[in-house]
Amino acid sequence: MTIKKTLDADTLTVTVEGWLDTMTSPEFHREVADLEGARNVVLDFGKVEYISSAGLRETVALYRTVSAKGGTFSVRKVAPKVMDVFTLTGFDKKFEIRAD
Amino acid sequence: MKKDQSSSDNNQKSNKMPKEKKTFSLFARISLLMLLIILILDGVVLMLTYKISYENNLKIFEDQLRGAAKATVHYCETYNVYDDKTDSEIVDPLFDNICDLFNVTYIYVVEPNIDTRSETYLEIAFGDDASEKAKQTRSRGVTVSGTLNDAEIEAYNGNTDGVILHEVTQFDDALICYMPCTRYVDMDTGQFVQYKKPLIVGSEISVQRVNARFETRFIQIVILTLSVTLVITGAFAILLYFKVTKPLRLISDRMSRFVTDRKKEINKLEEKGSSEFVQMSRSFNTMTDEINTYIDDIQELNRERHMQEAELDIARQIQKGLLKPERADIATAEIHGHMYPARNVGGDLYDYCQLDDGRTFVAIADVSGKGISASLFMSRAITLLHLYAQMNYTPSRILEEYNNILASQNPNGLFITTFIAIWNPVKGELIYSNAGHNIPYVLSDRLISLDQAHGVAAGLFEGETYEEALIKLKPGDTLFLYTDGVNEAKNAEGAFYSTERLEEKLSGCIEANAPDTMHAILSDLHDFVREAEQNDDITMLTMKIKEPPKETVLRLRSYIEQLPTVKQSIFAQPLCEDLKRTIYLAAEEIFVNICSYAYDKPGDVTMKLLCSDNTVELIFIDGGKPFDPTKDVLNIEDYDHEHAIGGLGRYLAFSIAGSYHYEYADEKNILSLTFSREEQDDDQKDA
Repeated sequence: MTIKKTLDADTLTVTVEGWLDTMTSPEFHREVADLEGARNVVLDFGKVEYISSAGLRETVALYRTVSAKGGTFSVRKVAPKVMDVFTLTGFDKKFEIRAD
Repeated sequence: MKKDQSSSDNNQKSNKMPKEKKTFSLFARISLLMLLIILILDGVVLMLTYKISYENNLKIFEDQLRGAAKATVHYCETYNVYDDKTDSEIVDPLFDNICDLFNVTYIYVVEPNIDTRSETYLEIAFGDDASEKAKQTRSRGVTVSGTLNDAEIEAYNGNTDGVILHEVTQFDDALICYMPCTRYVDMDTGQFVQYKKPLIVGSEISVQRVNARFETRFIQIVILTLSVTLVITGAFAILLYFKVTKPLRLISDRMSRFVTDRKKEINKLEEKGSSEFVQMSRSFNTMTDEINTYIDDIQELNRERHMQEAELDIARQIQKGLLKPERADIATAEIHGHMYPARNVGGDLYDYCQLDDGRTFVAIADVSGKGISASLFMSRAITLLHLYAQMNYTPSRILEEYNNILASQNPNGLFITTFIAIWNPVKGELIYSNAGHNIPYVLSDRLISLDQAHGVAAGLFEGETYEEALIKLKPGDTLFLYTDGVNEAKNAEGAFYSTERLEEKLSGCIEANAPDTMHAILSDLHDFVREAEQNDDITMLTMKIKEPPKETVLRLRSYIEQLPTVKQSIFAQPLCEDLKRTIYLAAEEIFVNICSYAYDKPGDVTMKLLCSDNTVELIFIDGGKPFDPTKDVLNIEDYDHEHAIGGLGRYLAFSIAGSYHYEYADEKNILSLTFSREEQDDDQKDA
């Protein structure tokens, strides 16, 4: 898994590539601990091939951090298989998750 | 130094021993020959000497005899008797004197009777060596009949020179001289009278005495001659030893120890003087100089050659290291590879690898040319193949990328024929693409040539495109890849193994249902080629399709770190990609749960995968605390997404599984989840 962060004004775009599972979620956790002062966060999941509950938990933890500060949070470019996991677990109803 | 010397002496002895046993040295032979020749000469000379001196000796004795006889005759003819003495009184001492003076044995006067051939002794005198028997028998007045011989008759007839006769008488082996005499003492009167018929004077000498005296002298001559001979031979031998044998030995010693002494500065022979040996020494020294130079050169060459060979050996090991092991038994196929280079290093390669998604990549290639350049090109090619295989490219895409890279940096214009295939066990399909390589075969119900999608060899022209072809394979089918080193293998008669023979043998393998096609072809190839030299690399690869495994069992410990093993095991299954992801998602959630809660300390976990035509069953067994995860599964409607995080994994796992079941048996938690293969049909088209 690789993570790339780009800050544009007060929006931090986090681009994740690869598998977000039990083995890689601690790394994701470390990477998003510092939001570089951004208010809003966009997770670019265009190249995420797989997500498990560990990845979901990190995603929701980040969502909680951002929303607690009044920022907006969205997950973009989610592949169908990954989207299934979000849908199954009802997270699609909690924050913005889009396939584009 | 001394030690060295003695050890080399020992060597020399042991080297020379067998020779010395067989023959004498040249020195001994020449010396003996010399001695023999001189002895023969001595013999001849002595024989001649014997003959001549014996005859001389005889002559001397004859002269003595004649002298004695002549003196006697002269005496008888001229002597006048004194008054007061009888003739006999005078004659006796006179005859004795003559005997002594001329050193003869007998002197006698006989009156012969020619008619009766008898003779009467008128007088006889004996010398010192006369036999006693003769003294008794022969005496004055005795008449012996029948003994008058021809020599006496000749003397009687007037031969005054003396007639010599060698006669063996009853007394002696005697040399006798007869001479006639007409005046002698009358027996009756005792006065000298003139006889009417001649008398015969005989002087006799014993031949034994003659010989004895001669032999003594001759033996002295023989001893002297032999002594001289020995002295001459000895002198010759000594001369031979010092002038010939010793210098020869020295030269031969130096020659035999030449290699041992080479490093020491003692191997020069003296060059003083002008004999043939000095010339030989000079030649030897010149030769040693040249040989030393030569040996140094050869050693240098040897060192270089060894270094080159060692480096080639390393190159070969590196090349071998680039190739995959010769046998691989993976879940979906059994692969055999074989590459035997014609020289130390080859330009052929085979390659295979199991891709993450359960597909299998195989390739075979042959670089134009041989040796180091080909092997370097081969190592570039195989590295690219490893790389592109892992990138999940299709065979034609791999060939295109591979061709572009190779062609972009190929100053020597080498090219590489390459065949690439990817086996998809889920679909039962082999997709292949060919860059100018020999047409491979599939051993199915019959022999099938993979003659589609044949493009140009790689490495020459950038931007080439390659086609792909597809063939369905079933379990038991074998893919056979080979390089032209197989069909173009030559036997001693210069005949090729040929594709016809290869096809025939492969068809035979189908009929015989041979378990190991590679082995069958290799042994047939060996039978054909026999001792002939191999002139091209021989490379083959077989992949026999296996029945998909029905059950996979994975024994684990309850560590999170074992997740990659779980992942690998699931993704190696001949299942479509999406189904494997779904199964893995469930497996990850269940395994993480077991790791987190089942044991206080890490314990054993068994994971099983049972594949049937329609379903895949995932089973987890652990010996931890009894816990039914299927109970109290989270109701997602009630789930507090903001705060609660527990139970989400379990919920996810059971949601994606078609069905699930838990039981606690034998002190073990057994959880099974079943997934349908049918549902994935649509997804397979994407894969």
